[in-house]
Amino acid sequence: MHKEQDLSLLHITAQYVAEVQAGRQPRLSDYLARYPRYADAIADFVAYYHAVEEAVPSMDAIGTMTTLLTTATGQRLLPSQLAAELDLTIDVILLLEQRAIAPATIPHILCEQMATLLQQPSTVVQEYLGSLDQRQSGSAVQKRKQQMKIAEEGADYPASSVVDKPSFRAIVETSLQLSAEQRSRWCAMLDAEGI
Amino acid sequence: MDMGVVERRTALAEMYSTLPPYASAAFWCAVEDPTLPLEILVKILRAAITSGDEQGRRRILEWIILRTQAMNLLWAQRVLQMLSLQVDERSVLARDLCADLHECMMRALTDSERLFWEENFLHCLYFERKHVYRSFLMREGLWYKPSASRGMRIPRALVASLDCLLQPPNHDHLPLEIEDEGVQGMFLSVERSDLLQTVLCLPDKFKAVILLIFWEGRSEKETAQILSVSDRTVRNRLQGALAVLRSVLSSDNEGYFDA
Repeated sequence: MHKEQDLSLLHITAQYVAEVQAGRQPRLSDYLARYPRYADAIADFVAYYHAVEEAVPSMDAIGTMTTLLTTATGQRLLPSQLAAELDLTIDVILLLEQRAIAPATIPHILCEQMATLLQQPSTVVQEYLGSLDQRQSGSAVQKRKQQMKIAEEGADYPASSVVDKPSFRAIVETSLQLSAEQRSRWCAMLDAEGI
Repeated sequence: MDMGVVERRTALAEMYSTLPPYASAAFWCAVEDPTLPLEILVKILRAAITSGDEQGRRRILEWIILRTQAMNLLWAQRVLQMLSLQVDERSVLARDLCADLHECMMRALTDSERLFWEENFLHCLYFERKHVYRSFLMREGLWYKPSASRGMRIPRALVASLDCLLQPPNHDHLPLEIEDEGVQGMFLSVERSDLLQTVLCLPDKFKAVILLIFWEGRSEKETAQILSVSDRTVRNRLQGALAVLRSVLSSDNEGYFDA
């Protein structure tokens, strides 16, 4: 596609997404009728957006990076130093900071070490790591996970389900920065804790 | 232009202009502030590239990747959730997906001609992820796996339409629209969320027609009007989509459709 057309398509689809995110339920037909030149590309994006992206939490929903790193800074610990002290790497620290890891899968020993380093009660650390999960739990999520039938009206339900947060083990296994030794050490700890 | 877009552009421009002098300590503090919009980071990254600051380029690029990593990982998980995979396959593929995405992101972020990244980072990321998603499925031979279960109940809209035919409101002339029952039946039997995934596997020219009819509930006639094409074209595209769907469904678990 030509660069100018590409930019136009980005503007059009961004407008569609903005409407969806504002809760306005835009009609695809309006967009297709208004921009016939881009009909195929718009339909392609809309299908992808509702099938995949709508269920992925935005950065705001994942959590803003404040508490964990701010507390560490208060203890004169840079993020890289905190990571080194915990035998982790910065990518995992940022995921912990963003509370993007399923809290039940985080090893107890890590919470304890973190609490010691940050000079906080371990319950405070555990609460911080699990707080987003509490917000997302409950019937609202279950309702969103319900499978809907095509014959029902689209306005009544979302087309996609909510994504579960990755486990600590999955993060350790997929981290691009952790060394093989660190990975095996953490896996052994997870095994020992039966997680 | 939408007022929201103009306001957003102005706010970003103002934020960019108030940044401390480039490469100063205060500048790096501002850059690594997690609340700084990613659009500003892209602009700074491109300024670093223009000025030939290789170290700065790397540092900013790394920071952008780190800031988006959690979200990208959730995206990879979402993509893999839609496929029938073994548990041990998932972690490996999640890693591959993220690696592919980060490579594409780096290419896009360092391309100064891709200006929309400086205006709406997240939306550009959607497109990049869409591209990676498709390439990934093609490469892995998983372009489509018909693992979705099909609904067994009779759709409410279909029942309602039958009632409508039996009891016309005023016994006047009843406009009879003959639609392809085979196509209707197949698409109506697919779960709504699965329909979107199925649509993703269709060639682009079929997508709009299928979405309008089966996702938005439009008739063939209305669809033809919206797309400014003839009724026959709509029917042909429906038939084409059906042929694809049939081949996908009949190819069992190893279904693969090459668009």
